[in-house]
Amino acid sequence: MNSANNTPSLCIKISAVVRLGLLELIRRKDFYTALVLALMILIPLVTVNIFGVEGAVRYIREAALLLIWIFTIIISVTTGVRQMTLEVENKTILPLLARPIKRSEIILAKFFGAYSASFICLFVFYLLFGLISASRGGIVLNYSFFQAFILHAVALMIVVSFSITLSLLLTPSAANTISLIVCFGMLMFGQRAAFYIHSVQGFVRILGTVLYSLLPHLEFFDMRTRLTHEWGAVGTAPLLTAIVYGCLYTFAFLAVSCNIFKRRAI
Amino acid sequence: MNNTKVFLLFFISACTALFCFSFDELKYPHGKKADILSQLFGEGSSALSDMAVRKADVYYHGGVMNDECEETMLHLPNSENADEHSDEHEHVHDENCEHHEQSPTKRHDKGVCSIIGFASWLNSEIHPSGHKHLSGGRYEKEVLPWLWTALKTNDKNFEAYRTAAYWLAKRMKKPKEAEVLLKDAIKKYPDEPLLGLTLAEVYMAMKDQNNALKMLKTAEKSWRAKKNENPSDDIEWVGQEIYTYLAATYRINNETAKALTYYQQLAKIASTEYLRTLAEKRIRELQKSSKSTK
Repeated sequence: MNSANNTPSLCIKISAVVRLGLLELIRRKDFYTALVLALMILIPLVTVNIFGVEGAVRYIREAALLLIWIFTIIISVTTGVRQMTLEVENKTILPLLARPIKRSEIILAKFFGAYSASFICLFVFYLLFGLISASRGGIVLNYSFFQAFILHAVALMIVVSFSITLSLLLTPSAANTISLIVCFGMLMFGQRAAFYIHSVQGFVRILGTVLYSLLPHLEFFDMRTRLTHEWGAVGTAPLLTAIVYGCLYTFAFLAVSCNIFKRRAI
Repeated sequence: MNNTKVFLLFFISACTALFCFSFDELKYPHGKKADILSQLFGEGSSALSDMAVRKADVYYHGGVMNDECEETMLHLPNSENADEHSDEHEHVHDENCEHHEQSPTKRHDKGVCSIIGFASWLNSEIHPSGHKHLSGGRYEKEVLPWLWTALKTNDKNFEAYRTAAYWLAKRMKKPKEAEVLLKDAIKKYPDEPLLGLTLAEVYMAMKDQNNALKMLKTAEKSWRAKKNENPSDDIEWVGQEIYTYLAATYRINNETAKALTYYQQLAKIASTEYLRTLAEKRIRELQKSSKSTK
């Protein structure tokens, strides 16, 4: 058998690390805590008696989607940041580097590991959301529901890759904090930021435009209002544009991560 | 020694807590009658309550904040165009649309960065643009949770009572629920004229003229007391509403003398030229009709 046959393929290498990521998700309690917390908030909301009138569903949808966004971003960021920092801190990166695997492949595998964990969380949360919504006579599995899920999944790709990049540049706590600030900040103010940039002049405007252009726009993937208030599905062109935008940003962050990790002396 | 210190500290804390909780003012900063949520949120409860009312309005506009839209959640029975706008209408943005905030790319100079133009386009496609109004039993109930929250966080938000009562009685066709809500509120705050006025409006919606009249008279009494205590524009408005209803009810019942008295009082306190002119017109009509009857 030649040496080429002995080297495992990229898929096998990545799937091995992905499996570790999933095992970590099961071992860690973050997801269960988030799930229990979400249920603890949503169940009283579902059962509350509002002026004796039954059937209001939009406030539950809004609360559920908000919780899903908050929890999935927190889980994605913490999982993404932990991927590389723990390996380096515990020196477990050394036996990994001794194996026939490139540094860029490690980054890629770590990304897929963290992303698959986040994706499973997202899937479970959306399943729960679908069930709650359906039980109240609301959205069932319609096209806009799938669009919201797909866009949310793409948004998590950006979040995970962004947090991996920051974890290679900063300490774990700093990477966690900055990732969370940027993600929630863009989600909350991204849409309005353009109006602010146009209202200022000079250096602040230039700085605002640069930041606005560089930071990942998570608000492109936020279909909460559309789904909650039944505005219908998004057109194919904007949907595909948002997906391509998400993939490009993920690729860019991963490329930067690979570059940093290649240059790093361990 | 350490244990003694900890015990002493615990004892002092317990004594302080017991002392504080022996005063009702400290235990119930919003009064004993206040709801648990308003007790919990303390001073922030009124801000939260206002936010909940604003949220209800956003829900009424299909989840889109719309400051320019003239149609609000509240169209009370006295407003002339009460049912005119109750149908759902959708408005989709176009380039000539004036009453919505323009996108930065349309609004500003030519040197606009293309990424901002791209982001504005994608945002306007992903996030709903334009607005619609909730209409129909299935959708109209959606604003109620926020009005409920507004009242739970601050049960002194009398405007929220008015909106919730209108929504229940007129839009949801559940006047009984509105009556229960307002009666509970009146039990807590019997001196608030706005509650009495709103309950009278609910009775009018139920075509119960006797109770409506009774409630209007009670509201008038509490309005007079409150006006003397703390005169303000808001309280003047409540008085105008009460007098308008009382005068109109007596006029419809052909009790000319009483109707005339209330129209005269209305003309005295009317804050708008329109209302004053209307009151004076009615006074002339009533005087003419009473003369012709004699």
